[in-house]
Amino acid sequence: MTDNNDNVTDMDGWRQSKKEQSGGASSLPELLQHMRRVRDSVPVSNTLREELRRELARRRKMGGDIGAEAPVPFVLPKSRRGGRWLLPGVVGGVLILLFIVGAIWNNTGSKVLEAGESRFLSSFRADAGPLVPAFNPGGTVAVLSRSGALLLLDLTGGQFGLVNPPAGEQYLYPAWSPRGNKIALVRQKPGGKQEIIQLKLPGEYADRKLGEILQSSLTRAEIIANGKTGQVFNGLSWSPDGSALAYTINNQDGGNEIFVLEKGKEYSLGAGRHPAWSPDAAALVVQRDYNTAPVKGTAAQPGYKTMSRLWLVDRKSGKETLLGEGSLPSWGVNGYLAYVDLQLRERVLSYLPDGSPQFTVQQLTGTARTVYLGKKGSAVKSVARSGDGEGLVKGGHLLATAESSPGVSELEWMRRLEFNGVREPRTLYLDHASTFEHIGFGPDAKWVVTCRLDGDIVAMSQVFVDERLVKGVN
Amino acid sequence: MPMPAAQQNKEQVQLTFEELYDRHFDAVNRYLRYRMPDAWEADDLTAAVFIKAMENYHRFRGEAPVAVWLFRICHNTYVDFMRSRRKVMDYSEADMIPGKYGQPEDEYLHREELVQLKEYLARLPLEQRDVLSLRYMGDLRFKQIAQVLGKTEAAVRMVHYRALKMLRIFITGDGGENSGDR
Repeated sequence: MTDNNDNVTDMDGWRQSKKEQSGGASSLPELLQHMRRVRDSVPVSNTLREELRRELARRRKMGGDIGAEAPVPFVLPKSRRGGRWLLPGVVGGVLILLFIVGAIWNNTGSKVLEAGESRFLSSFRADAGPLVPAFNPGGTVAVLSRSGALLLLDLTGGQFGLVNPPAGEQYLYPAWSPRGNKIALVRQKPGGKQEIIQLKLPGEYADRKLGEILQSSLTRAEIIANGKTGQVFNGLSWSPDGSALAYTINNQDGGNEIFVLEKGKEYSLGAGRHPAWSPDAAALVVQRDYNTAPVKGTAAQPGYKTMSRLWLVDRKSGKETLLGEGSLPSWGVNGYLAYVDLQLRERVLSYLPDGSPQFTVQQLTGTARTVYLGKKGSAVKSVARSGDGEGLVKGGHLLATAESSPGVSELEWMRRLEFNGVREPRTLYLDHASTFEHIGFGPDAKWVVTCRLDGDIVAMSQVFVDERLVKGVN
Repeated sequence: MPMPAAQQNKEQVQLTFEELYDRHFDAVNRYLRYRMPDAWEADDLTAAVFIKAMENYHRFRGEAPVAVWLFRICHNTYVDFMRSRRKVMDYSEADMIPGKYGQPEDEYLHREELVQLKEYLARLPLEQRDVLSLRYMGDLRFKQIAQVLGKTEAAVRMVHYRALKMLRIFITGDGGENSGDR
């Protein structure tokens, strides 16, 4: 290296002087400049650009018309078609090959459930209890409880029926049996005492007549479980064959316990809530809450001391397996478990001129995730690491997030700071979680319904799902 | 019933596939060359991305800008490829060619800076590398990156800010031992 007088330049000294001239590399604009230089330093292949253009044009001529609205299908030329037995032979061979490849892949790859199109169905004002819609076997009608009455919705979110209870009573937590021939629900009597009743439905009826049918069935309802004073029922869930009903009883002391009612007999599955049956009814996944000291990243702020774990409980033996952190389980007929994972998230409300966050909100936020457990509950192997809350559901596949837009309290906080002339970065910790009230698979597990609480409003949406095989990842 | 916004996007992007190719080839190729250790493999993947895009372009309904649609294909192709190779998604080993900066001293310094910066970038968490590469190699806006990665725009801005902040720490040597992990 030389200077203007052709003398040797001390490179370290020169580097230092350049750094001083530019004020160091610590400012954000300087870093942005660096990133642009990195961008300029990555060459693009001009040869590839031209060759690929030609190749795409060639393919276009063959059938995949570039810019066309629909591709031209590839047709095997007549001269290349084989005899009458060739086609079935080829098809058979391909099927066998696919079967072999599928079997190998199934053993070495893993399945994930991808979220597809999402459809908003309806929204409701937040109620005393969570919004838990129950769907008929065809997935065309939902029945749900709001302010003690039963609402009937079609899958456009339109309400077509309302069943009001007698004065002083409430209808809560309806659960539609998988065959569609009965609905169980909690009836709260005047004075607060609760009971579970069962309504029988006719074999065939027009969806629009359901309101009248329910009204009529309620007069002949069968009481299948009686609550004691102070006991509250919720989380009703029919077994896949409709022969047993699982539910939660919340006691006056705040504890909760899961029971199964089968052939008129009731037995306990231990502590927990939100029971979800395996497709073969051999096991249930239940949610159990526990108190924790604040942990950074999961429960960092005051008020976030209760977390939840998911447990697999074998129906016959009662054997329990920790699956990991999560809540609101739903086990679809496709073998996937949907659940909610709560994590501390940040939302930036405003930025400083240099692009750094100014006013930030931190809040526990729920994400709906799925993980493949299989269709046989008893076949789920224990993979939980004892005590640390990690396990099978750790790292489930993302389905939907409950991240909400800034609420009134956040905007007021920001306005107050701006009014007081605060310019330096500030963080607001919200002590209530932004999460789901319910998630659940539809009857055929081709979609998941989510009920997301955002301020005073609960939004009900339908998320369509598709299974995908992924090689080499969990 | 189609969304009005989707219709609007569709109207905005009435490109033929050739126009799409011309407009986005550089960004896609640069993005893949930046992220992949081998330029040949990056070029193969570039071809795969555009073939996939051509075969599916008739299905594009304009729900998102066409760049987002294309980069979703591109990013997923890259992720699938790296998974299939069972590679740790590490930073590109591709040579970085310094631009023209006038004096030889400038070129030397910039080459040195680039090598060092490459080292720092490799130490960032994967999420931050995804955002930086889509932003600077793919020329995407924050909103578009958010759509490609399935995050909110605010989350992407936050990741971007943290990435730059971490780079600043690395460069100034203050806390440079905080290397990123997944």
